[in-house]
Amino acid sequence: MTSLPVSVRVALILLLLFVVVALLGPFIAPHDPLAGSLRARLLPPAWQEGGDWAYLLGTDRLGRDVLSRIIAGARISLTVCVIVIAIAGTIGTLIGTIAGYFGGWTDRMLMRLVDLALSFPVILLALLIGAISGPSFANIVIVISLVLWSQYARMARGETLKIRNEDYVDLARTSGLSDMRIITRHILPNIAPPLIVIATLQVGIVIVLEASLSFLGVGVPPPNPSWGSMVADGRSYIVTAWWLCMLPGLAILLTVMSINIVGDALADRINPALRGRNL
Amino acid sequence: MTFPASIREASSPSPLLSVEDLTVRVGPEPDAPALIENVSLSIAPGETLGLVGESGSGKTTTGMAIMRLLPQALDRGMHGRILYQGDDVAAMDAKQLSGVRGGEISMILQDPMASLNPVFSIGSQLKEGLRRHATGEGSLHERAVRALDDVRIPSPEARLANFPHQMSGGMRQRVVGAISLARAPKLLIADEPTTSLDVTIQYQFLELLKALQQRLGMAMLFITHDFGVVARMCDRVAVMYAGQIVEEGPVRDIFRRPAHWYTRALLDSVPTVNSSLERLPTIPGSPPHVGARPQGCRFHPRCANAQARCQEPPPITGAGTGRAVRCWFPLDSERTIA
Amino acid sequence: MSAPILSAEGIGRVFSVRHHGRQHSLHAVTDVALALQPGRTLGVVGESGCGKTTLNRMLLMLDTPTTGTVRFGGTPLAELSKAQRQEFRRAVQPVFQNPFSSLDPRMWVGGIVAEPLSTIPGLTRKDIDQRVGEVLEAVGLRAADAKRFPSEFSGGQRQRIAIARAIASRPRVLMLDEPVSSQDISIRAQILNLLKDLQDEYGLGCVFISHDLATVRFMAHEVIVMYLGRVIERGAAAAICTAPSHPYTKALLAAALPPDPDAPPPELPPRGELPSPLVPPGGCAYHTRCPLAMEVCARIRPADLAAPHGGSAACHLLDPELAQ
Repeated sequence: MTSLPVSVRVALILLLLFVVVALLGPFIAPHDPLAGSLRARLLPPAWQEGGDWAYLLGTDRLGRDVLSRIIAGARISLTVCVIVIAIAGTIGTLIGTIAGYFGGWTDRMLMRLVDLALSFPVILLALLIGAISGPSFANIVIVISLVLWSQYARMARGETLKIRNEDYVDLARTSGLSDMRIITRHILPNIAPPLIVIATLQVGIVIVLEASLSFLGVGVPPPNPSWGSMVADGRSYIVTAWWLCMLPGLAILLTVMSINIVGDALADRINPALRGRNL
Repeated sequence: MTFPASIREASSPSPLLSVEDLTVRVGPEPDAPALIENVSLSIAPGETLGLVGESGSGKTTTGMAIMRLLPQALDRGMHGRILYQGDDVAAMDAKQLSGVRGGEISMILQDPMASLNPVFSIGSQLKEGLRRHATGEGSLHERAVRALDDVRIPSPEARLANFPHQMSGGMRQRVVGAISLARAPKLLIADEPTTSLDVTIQYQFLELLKALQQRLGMAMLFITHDFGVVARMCDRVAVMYAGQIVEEGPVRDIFRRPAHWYTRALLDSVPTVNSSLERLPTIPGSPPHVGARPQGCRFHPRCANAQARCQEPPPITGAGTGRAVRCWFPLDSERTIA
Repeated sequence: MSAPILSAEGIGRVFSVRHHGRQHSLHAVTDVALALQPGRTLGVVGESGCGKTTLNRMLLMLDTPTTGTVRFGGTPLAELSKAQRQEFRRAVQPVFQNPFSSLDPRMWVGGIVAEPLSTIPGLTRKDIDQRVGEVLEAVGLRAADAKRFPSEFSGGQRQRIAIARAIASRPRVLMLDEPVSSQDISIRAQILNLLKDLQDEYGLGCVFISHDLATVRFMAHEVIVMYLGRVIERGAAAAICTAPSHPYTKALLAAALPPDPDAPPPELPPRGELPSPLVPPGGCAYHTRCPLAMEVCARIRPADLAAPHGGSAACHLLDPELAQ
């Protein structure tokens, strides 16, 4: 347990840092993320020519401090990620596992539902919800969850089909265990690793989707920053003011990479077939 | 420590294949654990040598090493000589190897499905093999049909269009046989070729292999864990345990007068249809892992006759008689076969 | 003879399968009868496709026969009360062929072995731990092994864990499906002896499923031989395994290569391949491979006839009129 690989340690430290920043956001941000100063528009990062040490990572076109906005964005982006992945993961895994385990009629019904979810026009749905109830945090979570749960369902179903045919599942039946107990004791622990990998991969997707939806006016209403919307806003300045989309992009990249590394390590760790084996 | 050359000479004046002091370690470092150690064996033209052992004994490693098909890390940890008709296979480069592998030496593996590509018809896979080795008369198609006919596949013409998944396990293994033998190899390495087959199908495949061997005058290295298969197929037997050959001799000798305690105990532990035993004689424990092989005689922790001396590497006795054993206290008694 | 613990009357299982876009009826098992006495072992011999796995699943109540009845202590399985069902689950335990697939890699050995105990009411944590320790020691492992994962054990030790689990709930029947065929030869004898010892100690009734006549001879008292879902021969193990009457059993005997280089060539060597079970041959299902097949064999399915070994075989050659 003591010796973690360096990559995992670095990833863990980075994640911890992002979480702390997200939690303490308002207290550590050097400026108000929403207030701009027209005198300080489009300042480059401090170490570049023309930069100002008061604005460490530069400013955007309205003269708002990029660092403060990244810090404030961390809170929104990471919260959306955690909630969406928890909701989509639970619903998807449950539906996929039940479909795979029971098969037959149940399976066909649930998988039609998955097909439906996959073929659903997301943007249309988002606009519809946005038009009905206006931009809000809850809407964004609902829409992204509706899009992403089907991935868990498909993976969970496929893995369940594999595990279902293992002898130990039959043995559990011959010991008189109920289907529910077989699913919780044998199926879920064994299908968890690929689902964890999906969850880590989805972090990036959630951030980007959140950005697009915010852009469409469904999500977190501007001027509130999120990493995704910052990248989207900064896109048109990529040549003249690279820091506007590169720096929040870097935050996304580091987060996604760290989560992937930690997720992989976690998947290995909870697999006792790999633990305790000495070659 | 090796089996002396005199044994090899006793069995045949000029062996087709002679493996000398073959050691395969898991890496190039000299202290890396060895999968097989100082394995020496020889096969005369037309002869069948059985290589028997349990899982982890190194029998498959030996076969793969002779074909130079070991994973790269193991291949780099390989020492010793593999003389095929006097040429050292162990020292060959990729180009020379492909000449030897495809034509002169062929291989049949345990799982026929793994040897066949599922997306090509068996006809195209067979023809690919035949094309590279331009022997025999007639068009490629005719030769492919003939090759399937040789392995007694009914209606071979129609079967050429089949894909591997459309055939039974026995049929697939025959196709693998057809591909391996279509090039008329001089040496066939068969690694548990019938283990995945049903017994009645195994029987027929072994008979077929024997008939083809006689027709082609080919030698075989037959790797198996099944003494029944050894008794049926082999002229000579080498018994492997924990990476070493512990005993070698003519098949009848091995069954009637096993000299190594392991061979004897193993033979006795196999039930037969005629024996009416209440309990089977057993060998305690299980074969050691590669990294945990004992010092001295590898078998002594499980041996019924282990003594203090067995902590030291045992000598090889019986040199010059065509019969060798790696044991401090070899057995010398007749064994009745139930 | 005492009353059988587990018995089957005329059980059959038909699966509906799609093959080349057409719906077929696959008769995996047809009209099998058997009875298992306490302390006795019934051998079931056959190759892949003979229906032994489906038979095993039906006897384990993992699958339901489409025809016929399986009885547990005289009561048909379908009519078991909830308490009787629970008793069946406690009393009938399987050991499967592959100890890598039969042990959940994510559970402690202790948890695996204790699973059959988890549905028995009134057991305390302490009772369970004690029983797990007992059975682990009974199969030649240590009680402390309960705290380890299956991946830390060799194939032979894993099969011992599977056996420990099977006997944990003090069962009356063990269903042994090829329990040694994936094991090394030096391990096979250990496991076979262990199973015999456990049977003697607890008076277990065993069903021993195998393709290997030599192992069946060692383990079983009575034997049934199956081909394409039907029992084609039955009788005492020693007789069936040395002097069978049915040509298929003779072929199996020939294929069980004796570990003896001087063994005489077999009387009736096996030939041909298993026909597709989707379109089984008419008459005697074995006639397509039988070297002794007569004209009648393709037309009429032979009845079970008394065989010289005291059992019975489904073969026209045993009919004195037809055999002429």
